[in-house]
Amino acid sequence: MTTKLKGLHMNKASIPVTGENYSDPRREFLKNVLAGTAAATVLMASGPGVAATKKFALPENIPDPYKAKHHWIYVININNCIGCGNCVRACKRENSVPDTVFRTWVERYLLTNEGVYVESPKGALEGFEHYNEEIRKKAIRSFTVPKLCNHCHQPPCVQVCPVGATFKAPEGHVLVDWTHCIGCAYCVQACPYAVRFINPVEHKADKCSWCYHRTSKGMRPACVTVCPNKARLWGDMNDNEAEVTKIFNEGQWMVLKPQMHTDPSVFYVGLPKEVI
Amino acid sequence: MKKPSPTAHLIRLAAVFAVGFVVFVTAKSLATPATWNHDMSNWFRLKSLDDMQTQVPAYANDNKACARECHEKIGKMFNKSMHKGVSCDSCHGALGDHIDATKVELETLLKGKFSDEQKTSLKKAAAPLAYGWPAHLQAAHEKNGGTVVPEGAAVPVIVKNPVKAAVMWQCRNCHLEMINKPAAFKQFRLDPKFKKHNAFISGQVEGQAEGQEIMCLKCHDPHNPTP
Repeated sequence: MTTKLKGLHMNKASIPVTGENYSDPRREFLKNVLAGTAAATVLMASGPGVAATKKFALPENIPDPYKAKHHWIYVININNCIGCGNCVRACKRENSVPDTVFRTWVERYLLTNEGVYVESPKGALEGFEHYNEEIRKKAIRSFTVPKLCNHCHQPPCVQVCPVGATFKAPEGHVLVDWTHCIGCAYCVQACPYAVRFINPVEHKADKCSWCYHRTSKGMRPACVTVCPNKARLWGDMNDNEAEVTKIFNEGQWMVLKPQMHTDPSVFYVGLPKEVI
Repeated sequence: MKKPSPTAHLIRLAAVFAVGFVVFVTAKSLATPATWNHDMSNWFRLKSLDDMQTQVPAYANDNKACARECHEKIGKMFNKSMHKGVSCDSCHGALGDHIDATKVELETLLKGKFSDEQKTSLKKAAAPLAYGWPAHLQAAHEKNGGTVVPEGAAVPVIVKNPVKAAVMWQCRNCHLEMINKPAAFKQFRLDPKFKKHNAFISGQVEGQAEGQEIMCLKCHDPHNPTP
């Protein structure tokens, strides 16, 4: 039997509709796509791409002097912070941070029935003054929260840097190589914690480096050194006796913006939900 | 006229691509630093880590450098006091500033080994002038011949010794009662009804002329603040 379909002559008998020889082109196509996807998944899982998606696994070709000996983390205990601003001043002096910008700052929160007041006058460079009486009467609770770069394990700033100037150092620091930075500010936009800025003097991306020049020599960051009430702690997770390790193992900590999946290395103890 | 080759345009195109490729590879090799880490998960210039380490630290890591050599007596007192966990730099400013005038290498200072000559020059060096002192107080001090009005004080205070004044500003900065400070942290009140520290508000302490510098330091030694 021959059927005429829109000018095309086909022999119906030649098209197997059912039976062993039936082969639907769409079904074949879908099979091929599935097979291809499976093959690609196997290849990706066995290739170096996996290392890239895990917490910045250290490259194997890295020379010995640069290999990680420590796993640094930073702990901020909100219950101990008095808002003195020593850390902000020390950071400014230690790293010659220009007047108008801050690598670390302290925010003061005031909870009232009407809402939450947040302030950070000059980044708390000169500490905080008293609230005026009107606001104070409304206060339910007030506390101060230090902020700095979270040195994320999955840093968006590193991903967006077009020239490789921002990078994750072997021991966990997220750093900026000013020799390469072109000051495009992509990283400033990408950072979910707003801790990056363009240095107004150097015109390069700038941020907290966990005082790399100190910590790489066995010293603590300047802000940790001058904190008078142990609100800021710094230590090596590889050391089981370190205070930070014990705090971390207790598990009573939070990170900022966990929904961003940046996997920060700065952990907060006693962090109220209004801040997260 | 010679008939053009039917493949000439393809050869020209291939030549352009070849030249472009060579230029790209050459430019890339010239622009890529020698110590560039090519790992796809972490691109960076390995040498930049060395470059960053050349920055000279300004703050000491602990109090050993200060207490072991030049300030041993204060160090012993300090280590028994409630302030023992506080670093010297917290109130006195960066150790690096203390030694700037003497040109002693900070690395040497941190090791705590000085020649007698270095010790002498360190003793002569001025302590940091006004660490932590807010800029407006510093400006007022310079403009008004050493008179400033600290918050809560009823009368202007003549600051004879800016170093002491700066340290006292630190007393207030940490211990002045504020709603945001942890309840367990020791604080004093600026409240006329709270008589214990009325002297701060009136600007007078027993045995002291009105308006003269004081005040916390009159009763408390910050190295061992129990009055």
